[in-house]
Amino acid sequence: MKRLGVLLAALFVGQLLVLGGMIWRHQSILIDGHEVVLAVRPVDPVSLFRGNYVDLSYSIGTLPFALFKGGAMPEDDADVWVILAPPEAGLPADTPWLPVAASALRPVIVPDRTIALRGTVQSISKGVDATWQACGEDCGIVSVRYGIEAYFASPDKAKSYEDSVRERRLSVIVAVADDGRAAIKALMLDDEVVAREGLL
Amino acid sequence: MRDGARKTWDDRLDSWIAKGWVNADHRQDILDDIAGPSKAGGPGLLILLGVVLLLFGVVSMLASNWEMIPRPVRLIVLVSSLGASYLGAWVALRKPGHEGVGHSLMLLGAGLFGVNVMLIAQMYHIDEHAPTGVLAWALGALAASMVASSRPPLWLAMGLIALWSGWEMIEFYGTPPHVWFLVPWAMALGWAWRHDWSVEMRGAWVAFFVWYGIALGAMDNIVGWRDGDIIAVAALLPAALWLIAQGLDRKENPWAGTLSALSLYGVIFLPTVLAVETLTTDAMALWPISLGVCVMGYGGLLLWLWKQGKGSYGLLSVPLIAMLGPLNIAFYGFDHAAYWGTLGAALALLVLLTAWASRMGDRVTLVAAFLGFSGLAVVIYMNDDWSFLARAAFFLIGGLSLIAVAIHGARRKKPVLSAGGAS
Repeated sequence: MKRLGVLLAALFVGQLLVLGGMIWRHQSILIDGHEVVLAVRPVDPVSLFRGNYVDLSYSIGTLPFALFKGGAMPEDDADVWVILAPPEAGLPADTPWLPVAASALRPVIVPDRTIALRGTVQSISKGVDATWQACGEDCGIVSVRYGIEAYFASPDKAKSYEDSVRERRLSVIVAVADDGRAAIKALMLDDEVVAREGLL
Repeated sequence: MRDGARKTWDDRLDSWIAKGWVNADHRQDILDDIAGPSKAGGPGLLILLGVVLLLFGVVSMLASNWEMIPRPVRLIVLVSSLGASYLGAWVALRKPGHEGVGHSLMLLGAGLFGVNVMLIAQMYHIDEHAPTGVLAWALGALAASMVASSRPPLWLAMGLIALWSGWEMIEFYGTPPHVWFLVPWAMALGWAWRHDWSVEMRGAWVAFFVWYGIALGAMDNIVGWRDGDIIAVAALLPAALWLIAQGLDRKENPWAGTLSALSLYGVIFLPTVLAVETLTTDAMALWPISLGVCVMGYGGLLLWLWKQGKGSYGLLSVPLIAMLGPLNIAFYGFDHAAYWGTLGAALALLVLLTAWASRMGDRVTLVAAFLGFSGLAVVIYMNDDWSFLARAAFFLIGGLSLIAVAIHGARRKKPVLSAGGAS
């Protein structure tokens, strides 16, 4: 029975380590990551275990082939790196960062003031542009997910944020770690922060 | 007891009796003792059902994202509850006669571990690869089963392993079958095998065939099979295995029990597949035919087994109840009375079946009824006519009521037993 007690304590500690690891993996990005602002596009979903969320479909979720000029083209399900540049000085705080280059390989040097964000390729579509119009042989788009596409909230808040997304008033402040992983840090309505994330 | 194990004990006892070590008069008593109590169920079962409802309540509460409780407080409460569950299990498992409570608390702990995983994923809006969270939960539940040699967390682990792989195949995996399923599944089956937990071994086979069904269901995208062909293959394989198993001598052939377990898949899965299939295609008008065929087929089988006087024939009534599930889904959204009618009928039939199986000491049927009960809880959980908060209240009140009834029943029973013992 003493052995059972030790084993149960070990199980509890082991499971705590898993939970703590999950927290640390994401809290560390929020603490140390670089902040970027991203524009989002509208969609009204519910997760099986986690409830209502706002589907944050980012403008940088579809990258034109042109961004990969000079960089390696990615494959399905592979990592992809996107270089984001900040807006010009003096523009409102909710002005999104924009992609200036992309590559299947991790950039060795990231230009000053830019950030390298890591995503995963969902699909590659040739012959269409970001609005799904035909655009010739050499063009196309790469659909990418960054692991920051869901924002969980109570049903009322989720609906209110979705409305704001439809009105194109909502943007997201994302923290990006040096290894390119991202976490949602805050939500901005117009140029005002309306929700800030983190353990406390 | 597994057939192979039973034969081993038979042989050992015969040898010990021949050597004069054991009195032949006590041969059957020893076998009965090894097999465990013949009566299944009782207060322990009610507590277990209550814990299942409680877990659904906690998950619903989490999903409601109720802002009255700040997220860090939710995390502290849930992590403390996780520790308290294991501590409570340790205390209960040390006390003779409280094993049922101990194992129910192990299930609660294993369930709360997953709720914590989901809470953290919710807190940090993690949207990387959702099935990985389910796999982490499954491994946590499997570890809980292994640490305390506890069966309920193993059921949870097997269900989660099937859910993980099914999710991977349906939403993410380009080319099924998702063979990684076999790794945690083999661990779960091996653990059940090591402990000679025959019901759990059968459960593992059911999980295997649910996976097989989903993998097969995706074959139309790969080899261009029609739905009808897939169902025919899905249905014929277990039916053939079941027939072969019936023809084998269980004492002589160690594979007979395994083959018989495989047939569980056919018993539970086939009618549901048939019913769902007819409801999801434009052949909707055909569902009364499928239903009729299933009712007649299983009704005939039930009658035959009953006349033979063998096997867990109560188990065969589970698919008939299970068919109410797809019907219930079909009524969802356009006929409220029929929706709640089928749900209520399935619930009532499962309670009756549970009571009957408990009285007969039929553990296999009891577990099937238990799984059916959990399935119904899933149906209610998925019903978005209610808010998550309303569903949380329903499950928490239901779970606590069942546990209260079980404790009250056990306390009332105790003095009677003591009085009987004293006289």
